[in-house]
This record gives sequence, C-alpha cells and structure tokens, in this order.
Amino acid sequence: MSTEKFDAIVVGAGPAGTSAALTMAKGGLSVALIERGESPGAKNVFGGVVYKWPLEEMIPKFWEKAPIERKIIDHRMVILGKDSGFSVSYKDDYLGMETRGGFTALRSRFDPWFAQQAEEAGATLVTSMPVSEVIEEGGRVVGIRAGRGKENELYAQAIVAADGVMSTVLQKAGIRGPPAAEDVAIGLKEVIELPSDTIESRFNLKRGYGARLDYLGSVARGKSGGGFVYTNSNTLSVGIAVLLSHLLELRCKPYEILDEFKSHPVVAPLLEGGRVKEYQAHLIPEGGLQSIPPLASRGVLAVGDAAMLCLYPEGTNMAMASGVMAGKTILESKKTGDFSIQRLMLYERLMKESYIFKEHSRKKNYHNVLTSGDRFNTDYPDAITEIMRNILVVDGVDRGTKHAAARKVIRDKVGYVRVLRDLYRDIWSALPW
Amino acid sequence: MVNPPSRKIDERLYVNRYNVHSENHLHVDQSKCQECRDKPCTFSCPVDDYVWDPELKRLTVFYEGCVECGACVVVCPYHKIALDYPPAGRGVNFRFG
Amino acid sequence: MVSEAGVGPNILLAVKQVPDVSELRLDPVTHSLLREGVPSVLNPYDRYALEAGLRLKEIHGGRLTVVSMGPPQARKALQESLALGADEAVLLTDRAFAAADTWATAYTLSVFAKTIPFNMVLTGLKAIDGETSQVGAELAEFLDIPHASYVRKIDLRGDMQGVTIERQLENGYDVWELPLPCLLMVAKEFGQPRLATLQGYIRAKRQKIRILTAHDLEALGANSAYFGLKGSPTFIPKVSPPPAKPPGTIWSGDPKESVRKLVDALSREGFV
Ligand SMILES: Cc1cc2nc3c(=O)[nH]c(=O)nc-3n(C[C@@H](O)[C@H](O)[C@H](O)COP(=O)(O)OP(=O)(O)OC[C@H]3O[C@@H](n4cnc5c(N)ncnc54)[C@H](O)[C@@H]3O)c2cc1C
Ligand SMILES: Cc1cc2nc3c(=O)[nH]c(=O)nc-3n(C[C@H](O)[C@H](O)[C@H](O)COP(=O)(O)OP(=O)(O)OC[C@H]3O[C@@H](n4cnc5c(N)ncnc54)[C@H](O)[C@@H]3O)c2cc1C
Ligand code: SF4
Ligand code: SF4
Repeated sequence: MSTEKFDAIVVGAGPAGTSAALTMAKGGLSVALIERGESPGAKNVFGGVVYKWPLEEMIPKFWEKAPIERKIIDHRMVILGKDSGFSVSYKDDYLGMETRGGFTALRSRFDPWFAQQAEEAGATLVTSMPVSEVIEEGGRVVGIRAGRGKENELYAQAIVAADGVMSTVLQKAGIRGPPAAEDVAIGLKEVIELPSDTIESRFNLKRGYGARLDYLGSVARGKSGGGFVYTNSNTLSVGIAVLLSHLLELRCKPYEILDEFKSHPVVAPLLEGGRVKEYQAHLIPEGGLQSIPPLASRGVLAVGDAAMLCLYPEGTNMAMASGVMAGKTILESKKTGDFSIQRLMLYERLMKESYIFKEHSRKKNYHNVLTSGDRFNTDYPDAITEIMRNILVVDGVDRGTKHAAARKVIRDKVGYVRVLRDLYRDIWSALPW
Repeated sequence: MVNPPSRKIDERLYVNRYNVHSENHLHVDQSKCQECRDKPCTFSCPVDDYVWDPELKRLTVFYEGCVECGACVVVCPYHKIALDYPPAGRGVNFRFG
Repeated sequence: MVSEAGVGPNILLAVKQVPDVSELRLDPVTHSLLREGVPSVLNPYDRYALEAGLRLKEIHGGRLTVVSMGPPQARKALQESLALGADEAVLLTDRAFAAADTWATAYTLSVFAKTIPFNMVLTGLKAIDGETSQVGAELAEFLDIPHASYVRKIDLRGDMQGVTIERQLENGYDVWELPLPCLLMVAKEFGQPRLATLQGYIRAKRQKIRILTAHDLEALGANSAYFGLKGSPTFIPKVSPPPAKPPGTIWSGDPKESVRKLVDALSREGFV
C-alpha cells in the first residue's frame, strides 16, 4: 500500500491539537490527528475551567452540545493563611449565560467530544498511537514515526507539535529540551464525588451553575503554590500546583502538599463526605514569555503547552487560540502552495499580535512572583491573618488603635516600600483577573 | 530492603484505571543513580514509583502506577530518565481527567 | 457456502466488543462496582483469533472477514480488526438483537455466515464479560461444521482440504486433523497478538463497515423469532457477587522475620 502524504500531521489531540486539526479540516485540508491515549483525554489532566473564547469561534453555540459540567457564575479568590482564608469573590448570573464566565469540564469527556468535531469536519483521528520520533529531510521535519517499520511512518507538508508540556516532537526535533524545573509546576488533582444537591447547597448554587475557588498564599509550605476547588456536576476537582524547583527545595512528596491543602480548615468542610474517584498528576508550564521555544521552526509549528503558552489558570484557551493560528497558517500555505519554512513563519507573526502574547507580556513578572522570595506565600498571608484577627475581634480596643497596629504589622513584616513595589510591579501584573 | 510504595499511594492508585503494559516504560541509568546525591526522583514522583534500596544500591522502579506526568524526567539532575510512553493506549487511562 | 479449492482461504472471524472488565474496580468502601468511564474494548481473547487469521493470511493469502453482533459502538472493535489487517468488517446491529444469550447470538451470526463463502471460522476462546465459551461451539452447530476449542496452532493444507491443529491441554496438547470448513476457537497460547500500525489505523478509518439489521437478516432467510431476548432460552433468575474473602495478613519489616512468621502460620494451618 503506498504511503500517502497528508497536508498536515497534528501530534496530540488536546485542546491545541484538536483546534488546529478542526481549523484545517474545515478548510478542506487532509489532516492526521495522532493521539497516544486510548481516546483523547485519557492521558490528560487539568483543573477544570474551559473558557468561551476561542472555542465559540470554532463551534458556534457549543454550549448547547458540549459536555459541560457546570457554567461558572461564582469566581472566588482566596488567600490562605496557616489556618485562615481571606477571599474576594464575584458572583453574577450574567456570567452563566452562554458560559461567559467559563465552564467546568472533565478531560476524558470534553476532549473526545472536541476531537469528534474535528473528525466530523474530515480530520483523520488515530488514537492509542504514541509518536516516538520525527523524520527529518534536508534540515526540516517531514514526518513522524510511531514505532518501528515503514508501516508506522507518516509524512506531511507541515507538522503541528500539540503534544503538551513534555512534547516528544519538539524534543526529538531538537527545538527544545525537557522543561527546566523552574519553568514547570507539578499539578496534582483528585476528583471527589458528592451528590449534585450537596454541591449546590454547599456552594450556594442553582442547578447547572458552578463556582471556581482559586487559592493562593500558604498552600505549599511557604513556597509558591496554588490550590483549587472547582465544581463539576456530581464531583469536585480539587488540586494543588507547586513549582518543581520549589518541590526540590522542600524535599517533600507532592501528595503531602495536596493532603495538607485538603485538610486546611478553610478547605476541608467543602470536601466533607466526598469520595475520591481518581488521583491525577500532570505538569503545568509556568515559565512565561522567556520559556517559549521557537514557534515555527524547521517545518514544525509549536502550539499550546508544547510551546509553553499556558498562563495559569488559562491554558486551554491559549492552547486553542494557538492551534487555530497554526491551522490558519497552514491553510494559507496550502492556498499558495508554499509550505516553505519562511512561509510557515506567518504563525509566529500572528502569535506576536495575539491575546496570548499580550497577556504573556502583561504578566511577564508573574514568573518573578513565583520564584522570588517567600513573602508572597508567608509574609503577606501572615500579615493578613494578624491584621484581620485583630480587627475582627471586638474586644473594646478602638479601631484607630487597631488600624495603627495594622500599619505596624505591614511595616515590620514586609515594609511599606516593598508593598508598594510588589503591588505595582509584581502582584498587579500577576493577578489572574 | 526496599520500602514498597507507601500505603497512602496504594489506596490512591486503587481508584485509577490502568491498562498496565508488560514492559517497563521508565528507563534509568543505574550507574548515575549511584552518584546522584539527592535522588530527587524518589520524592518528586506523585505516585512513589522510584524507591532507592540502600543495601543493594539500586533504584527500583515500580512503573505500574505511573501517571505519565514527566516530573521525574525534569528533576533528574543527570537527565537520565527516559519516559517512553507505553504503546497501544496502555498505561494510565483517566476516567475523569 | 464453501469456496473453491486452490485459492487462498476465506476466513470468517467473529469478534465481540466487551466492557473492559480488567478495569472494573470494587469501591473500597461500598464494594460496589466502579463502572464509570469503563470503556468498551475488543474482547482480548478475540485478539488471538485475529492473530491466527492474520498469520494464515500471511502464509496462504485469501480473505479475512470480521463480523460482530452488537450495539453501534461495536464499530470500534471492527475498526481495530481492520487496522490489524482484516479485509472486510460486518456489523450486525439492531435493537431486536439486544440481550441475546449465547444461543441467539450464535444463531444470528450463523445467518450471516451462511451468506458468504468460508473455509474456516475463527472465534476467541471466550468473551471476558460472559465467560461462557459457548458461542463458538453453538455457531459451529448452526453451520453444521466440526469445531475445536483451545486451539494453539493451525496448519492449513495448501490445497484447502484439511487442517492440522494443536489443542492446549492442562499438561500437554492434542493434535487433531479436521476437514474444512471447520470452526476453531483460538486460545491465548496461540501467540502474542500484534499491535496495529499507524498506517493500518489510517487505512481502517477509510474503510466502510457493512451494517446489517434484523430486517436485512430476515431478507436473507432468518427467523426473527430467534433474535435477541425473545429468541434466548437462557433465563437468569438472579446474579449475586461472590462472598467477600476474609482479609489477608501482611507481615512487613525484616524479610527473615516475615518468612519465619509465614512458615509458622502455614504449619499452624497444617499446610506444611
Ligand atoms: C440475560 C442476558 C442478557 C444479555 N444482555 C445483553 C445486552 O443487553 N447487550 C449485549 O450486547 N449482550 C447481552 N448479553 C450477552 C449476549 O450477547 C451473549 O451472551 C454474548 O454474545 C455471549 O457472550 P459470552 O461472553 O457468553 O460469549 P462466549 O461464548 O464466551 O464467546 C466466545 C466467542 O464467541 C464470539 N462471540 C461472542 N459473542 C459475539 C458477538 N456478539 N458477535 C460476534 N462474535 C461473538 C467471540 O469470538 C467470542 O470470543 C446478554 C446475555 C445474557 C445471558
Ligand atoms: C492541574 C492542572 C490544572 C489546570 N487548570 C486549568 C484550568 O482550569 N483552565 C485552563 O484553561 N487550563 C488549565 N490547565 C492547563 C491546561 O490543561 C493546558 O494548558 C492545556 O491542556 C494545554 O493543551 P494542549 O492541547 O497544548 O496540551 P494537552 O492538553 O497536554 O494535550 C496534549 C495531547 O498530546 C498527547 N500526546 C503527548 N505526547 C504524545 C505523543 N508522543 N504522541 C501522541 N500524542 C501525544 C497527549 O496525550 C494529549 O492528549 C491546568 C493544567 C493542570 C495540569
Ligand atoms: S534522579 Fe536520576 S540519577 Fe538520581 S536516582 Fe533518580 S534516576 Fe537516578
Ligand atoms: S512520569 Fe510522573 S508518575 Fe511516572 S514515574 Fe515519572 S514522576 Fe512518577
């Protein structure tokens, strides 16, 4: 049987790869979408919130058919102290309409549905097939291998590396190595089952609507880490993320941090009575702008986590948007019949003008916040706890005295100048909102 | 003697779905492990796949519980862990993800 | 119908899509089955039958047709068979076939089998969900051909006039000669089944799966009274899980000490 050549091979059927495949298949290209899991999503882990954009651009009114767990209407950000929590929240039914505030999903349900849209548009999805090598010719990547022998080779005009943070394609093509321990966090998650009415009463929600709770501060023994509790239909997604370089400093097992988070007095009551249905782990790109590899190099377009585009907690949208741009670039090449490496550089130009790069530039100090000092994870949370405890306990001491004490706490714990500088330079730029 | 993976992890992994492949997909270089001071793989792995046996001076790899996250590959100071994804959809299969 | 001698064999292979029971787990607390997300897979035993069919095809040429009776999701098992190298796939699917026992399943498969030429029918030794190991033998009876189970080796004569097989026994093996056509239920001792290749999957994606409904089979002369639940003589009054076993004992710590405790315990129970 002759080996046919596809217009494009997309490696990895996650949000990035499926978006690229869908975009190209809709444009009439022949696309092979190759996934190592038994089905898309079988190997994937994420916290749980997918955003409306840019999914809607690919699948109008997707919310009428996608496997949505809950539409998010309640966004809560909680700064954890050792035993306390200071939270800011915003709740609005408006956010629930057409999933404006995002929606929770489970990868083993969402990813197969999404990949099916690409298949229906004409892409050829192959599952259970880990890509192990790239095939190079004349300084560019012209195909991939998934095992031994000619029968496991496949050729295409362009290759899209959508195989996630540990990208085999980029590593084998020599475009980047494995990520550095400073540039990735390890994310651990449990799916915890609770009856849907319990979730609704416990989180004060109407049927079908959900809350996302993101935790900062004292999550990872004073190191940078975050936690989350997201509501699904009849499960909660509960997890933590800690920078791998910090885990190395802590020398503790990552699941000890998850256990501490789950038993934190502010978190534990939310999980009460739930049963663990699954235990998962995955790496999260956290390196920001400086960790992004060449996006279009030697015939390979890097998208999503493979290109380290995740900007926690936004990863799936970055992945999808980059996938669409890679798809459009290859469509453009097909139109002109020019698949040269220069022509494929269009992808990099599109990316530089996009939301993705604007957000990455805005948050360029986020990585500093993550790696620099412990004040964000210990000093600030401790100061907040001390001030709030003093202020909220009505004990006959007047508020003027208490406010003065609060100012002293700030001065002693972190210093005014530092607070202002942190606020201006780091915290402001690091805020997910 | 080798400490088997902690009970805590066993209970956690029990709920997961695995289609274990007959061959190990995690390859280490035992000669480097001898020199490796901190042996970060032994505490970074979320499922305790790596256990150092101080008597035999060997790193034991319990690949069956691997969730294929890649953390060990990143933390190994010698970059000597090869994670060759199991074929044919074997290995971990998340039911929720 | 039997094909002419001299050309390669026409092989018919029956495969089943089953829930991946190896992935079923008991909830540690409630001891109920955790079924959620347990996918359907090609019956693992059928992989050995497929391997047998593919090896015969490699040696003798011929044609490998795969048939399954099941819900539309059984396409996946058929697609995998095509990816591995089967030439044609047929799905017998209809609400009328639902809840068939082994007899009705074998009957339905036989109606289709009679419409195509074959020299040999292959099945898995058993399906991992039902574990009855009946469908193969019953299908042979409906087709009025001899059959053998626990087949671990197949030597087909070049003139298509007969086959020599080995049957796996508890401690040894039988050698049998069978005339053709016959039905062989292949055991796992046949040999490691191959993995489908990337190109194989891509070709399979393009191949059409032939669909036959109850109506189509009736047009081929089937009696619809023998389909599905109403055609099934098996009656299952009750299904109950096996009684829970008492918990085991774990001795940890010093291996020498543990072994001594184990020996003590075994001799106390009178095993050694
Ligand atoms: C009460 C009852 C209810 C049932 N309800 C359903 C139901 O709702 N839905 C449903 O799908 N099944 C149902 N079944 C299963 C029913 O389809 C048959 O029992 C089943 O096909 C035989 O399974 P087994 O494991 O006993 O097969 P075995 O006899 O162990 O199988 C041996 C071999 O026969 C072949 N084979 C078996 N079944 C098929 C098939 N369907 N197509 C092609 N080849 C096959 C395979 O090669 C297999 O390896 C039900 C069975 C019973 C008894
Ligand atoms: C704990 C955690 C929480 C998160 N929370 C959120 C959140 O709430 N919201 C959000 O938007 N983002 C979140 N993210 C980030 C988000 O999951 C990722 O940014 C996003 O999934 C990236 O999509 P992708 O398609 O690039 O990569 P992936 O989703 O990783 O997909 C890569 C695909 O490639 C396949 N693959 C890998 N290697 C190969 C190979 N060699 N051959 C074939 N296939 C291969 C994989 O099986 C996978 O299907 C979270 C991540 C984690 C780990
Ligand atoms: S980190 Fe690497 S070198 Fe060190 S013990 Fe583990 S595998 Fe061996
Ligand atoms: S890939 Fe992850 S789960 Fe597997 S051994 Fe490495 S660290 Fe452990």
